[in-house]
Amino acid sequence: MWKDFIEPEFELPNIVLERKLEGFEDATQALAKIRIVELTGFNKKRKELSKAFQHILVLSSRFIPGYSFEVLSFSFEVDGYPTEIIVEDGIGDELEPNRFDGTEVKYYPNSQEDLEAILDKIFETKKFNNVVGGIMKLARSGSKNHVESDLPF
Amino acid sequence: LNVFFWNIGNKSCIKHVVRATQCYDIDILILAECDSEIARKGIGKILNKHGFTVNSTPGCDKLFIITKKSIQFSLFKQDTHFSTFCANKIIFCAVHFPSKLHATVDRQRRLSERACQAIEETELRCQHMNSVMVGDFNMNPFDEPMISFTGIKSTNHSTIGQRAYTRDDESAFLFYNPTWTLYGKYQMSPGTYKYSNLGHNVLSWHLIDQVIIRPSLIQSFDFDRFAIVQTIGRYSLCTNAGKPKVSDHLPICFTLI
Repeated sequence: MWKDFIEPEFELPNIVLERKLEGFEDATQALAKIRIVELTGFNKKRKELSKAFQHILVLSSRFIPGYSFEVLSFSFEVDGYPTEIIVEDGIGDELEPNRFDGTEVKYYPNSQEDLEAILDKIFETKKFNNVVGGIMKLARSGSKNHVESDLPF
Repeated sequence: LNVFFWNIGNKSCIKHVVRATQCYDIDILILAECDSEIARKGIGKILNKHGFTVNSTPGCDKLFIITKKSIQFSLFKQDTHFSTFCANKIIFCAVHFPSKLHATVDRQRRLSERACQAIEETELRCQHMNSVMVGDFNMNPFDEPMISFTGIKSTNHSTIGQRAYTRDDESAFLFYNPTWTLYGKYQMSPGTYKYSNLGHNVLSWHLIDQVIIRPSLIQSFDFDRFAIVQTIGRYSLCTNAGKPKVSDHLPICFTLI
């Protein structure tokens, strides 16, 4: 009774983002980390995200235990797009300087290509680059008495 | 542990800040609206000679955090609007939320919720709940996001227990807000900020610079020393009419014994 099912060819947003993040650690001389954390169970009480699969993108450093900075959060349904992206406020201020300050900067890319274009813009912002630079500087000074941290954030 | 918070309104007040560290024997100094690199370097350079360390907070540029070198300092979650850190095993979340002129109440509530989540994550990690939230909330103690169960959840009830409260199937621990006690202490000018453009809302003084604490710290909080700072040494921070004159905000200071 069943015909063969076909998987769509697009990449899911978390896979696209993972691919974008390749090489990040090397570019920071392993002083900073960036990772996607899936929100599940208790953590999934983020009222600003409206879709089923919810993730956050977090900067941290193995040399600064406990430190974290959330770059963005995103959510999507099983069909991947449109993806809902909410950008950290400082990054959002730079990307959308003329918006009313009371609102979060949200994007809804309809395709993999749109998503990649938005991610490129986010990673090029001064705020993102300043935070990474700041983490590197702090991590370098703290790396002398380094305590490895394995918590996600 | 003496803590001093001041929104200096991007005014040049290096000498007042330095003087305050001596007059109030400050251990932790938190400044908001100290955006100029020149001011930061100036304050940092002088205070460094007096035994202070300027702490780097990558991700939170809105706050400038300086601690005595003897303070054990570690950094936790950072955000454009708040900085979470640990100082001598007390968890701090220093905040500078956007003003009502630029953010809706719902936005302020959402930011409050996020800062609370950052504290909860840090508490989980540190395995204790000795936490303090301090800064320019841009809200009065009675404003909805300060007291809402989905906001900061800070009550004026000093004998609240240390158990979690449950509302609509959601559990959370509350904060106690000692700032309420300042209304009785400063009857003539009950606030850190004066906004005289009276409209539908007829309040002039606003207590938007606040400190809130977990109930576990109530016993350690020195209510007598908790103050709105109106003078630094002999220098008055207010005009004869009582309005803040150095910055548009007055500082607050408090002590944890």
